Amino acid sequence: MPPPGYLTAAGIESCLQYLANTYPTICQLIVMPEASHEGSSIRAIRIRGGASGNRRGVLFIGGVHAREIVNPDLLVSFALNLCKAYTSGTGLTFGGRSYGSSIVRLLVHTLDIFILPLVNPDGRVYVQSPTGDAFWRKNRNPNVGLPCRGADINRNYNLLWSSGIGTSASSCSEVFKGNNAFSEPETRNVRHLLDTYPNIMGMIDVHSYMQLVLYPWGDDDNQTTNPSMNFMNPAYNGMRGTAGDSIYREYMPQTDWDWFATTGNRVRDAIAAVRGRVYTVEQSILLYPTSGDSKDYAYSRHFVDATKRKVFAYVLETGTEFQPPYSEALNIISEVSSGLVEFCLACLCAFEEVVRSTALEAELEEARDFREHDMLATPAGRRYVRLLTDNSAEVTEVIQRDDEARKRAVELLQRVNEVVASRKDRRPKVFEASLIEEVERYLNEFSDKRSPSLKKAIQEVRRDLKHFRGKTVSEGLESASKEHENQARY
Amino acid sequence: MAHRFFVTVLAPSKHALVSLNEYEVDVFQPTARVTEQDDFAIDGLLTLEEIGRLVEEGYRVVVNEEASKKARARTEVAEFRQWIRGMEEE
Repeated sequence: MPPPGYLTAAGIESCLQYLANTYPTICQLIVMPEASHEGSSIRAIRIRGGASGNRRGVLFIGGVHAREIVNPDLLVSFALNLCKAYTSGTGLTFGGRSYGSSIVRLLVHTLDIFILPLVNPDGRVYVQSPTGDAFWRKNRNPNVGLPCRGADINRNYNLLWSSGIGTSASSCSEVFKGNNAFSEPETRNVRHLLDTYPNIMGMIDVHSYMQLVLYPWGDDDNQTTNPSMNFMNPAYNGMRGTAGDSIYREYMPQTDWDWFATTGNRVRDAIAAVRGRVYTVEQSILLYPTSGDSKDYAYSRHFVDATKRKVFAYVLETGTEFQPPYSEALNIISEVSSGLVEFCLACLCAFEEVVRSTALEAELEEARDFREHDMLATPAGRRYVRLLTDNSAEVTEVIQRDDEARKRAVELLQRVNEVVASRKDRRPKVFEASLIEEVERYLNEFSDKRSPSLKKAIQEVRRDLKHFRGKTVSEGLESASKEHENQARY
Repeated sequence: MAHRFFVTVLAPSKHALVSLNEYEVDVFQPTARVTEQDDFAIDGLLTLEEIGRLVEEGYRVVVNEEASKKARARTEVAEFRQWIRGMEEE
């Protein structure tokens, strides 16, 4: 018999405690620094296993809007199923979509998975109380001195908070943005997680409803050509917040937009594979601009402070109503869990896994710089990054299983890195023919017994190796890009 | 508390749709869409008084259902022990 109904706020708490008690080696409770207005403590969990230390983090949050009742249940179910599968050495099956035990192990051993399932416990208590309001949205801030209770937590983050775009300064509004940015303990708790765990690079805030996968920006349409036209630039104050006009558009680098769209599509496809529900992937402005929301705030942080990590943040709008019958909620939980697994897989980086605990790990910052400024600046480089991203999970899995494959990859990467690191020198090094031949030999062997997708990716890279023989890395990327452009033209 | 209804508000233009914000009514921003009839539509949860006000202002409002019929947060609830038993049996 499946679970018979929705958990209460206390039930969500009990579930977190159960996870920590039952799976103590992989589940760690995290107490948020701030209690809610009505004194409830708020807790998250981190799921991680295996020995590796320096790893990427993903953050899932839910229960921000009290009436969107499915999502806290969804997140604790996801956590429970993941822990159960890991501990029993089995896979995860969601309707028509299955992830094998090796994928489960990969996620737990490679990522920190943070889950804050109930951001707004006071709201849920009120929604489930016989004397409350079943469709209450906000938190339960008493708003002393104001006529109405509650602030919209998802309009309270510090991202164009003052602009008033899609928000209200009236406490009686459902989109009351609060007295100031981060005036609410619930938003400060989410900020705390992002500040305390700087390895978080992917985030999904789970809401309801409309079957959407939404990515930044929410205040205006995106553009990729004018970096100075951005949310921090006061010259554009008053011009933001109208979809479809040409006065203002929010800047997003093309490569980030590509990542958001590609990963959003992966999440959509993973959801659809469960029972055929096709979510729509799009920029969150839609027809209705907003400001002060979680995903835009999380993604904006690295623009405001370059020392902060870029967080690829989404909002998922699950299902087709706020409070579906629980039998339907179980279907939503199943399909969206599949999407969350896929998101975790998209956040893996095979390169980081290969070089972990080797001398090359110290070069990661340099490697990121090369990726951002050289690879992503050329068509060929962008294609290589995409091929690796698309196949990161499989590559990581192989590397974790096969020590010899990993050892040889590290040796080759060390030699490749010597050429890459010299790219800004007056006389940059070139790729020796012998190195290219060894890389080709390695790729040939690596592609044996791999998935069709990975085989195809390796084949594409192998085809391009000729461009790098006897060339600097910049010359190689340029030559390969020219060939791609010519092929695209004809 | 006044009775509320799940509704779809139809606006004649995008501007009129976004202007709903000024009425401080409970409309659900992610549901904003263009219908096959080229109307700008958004779902919401409104009282009869709010519906009347919007109609007076030129919006069309399709009433879908009385809110209490869609409220399951209180009626379909499980104790944690029942819930976890169900999860462990799955």
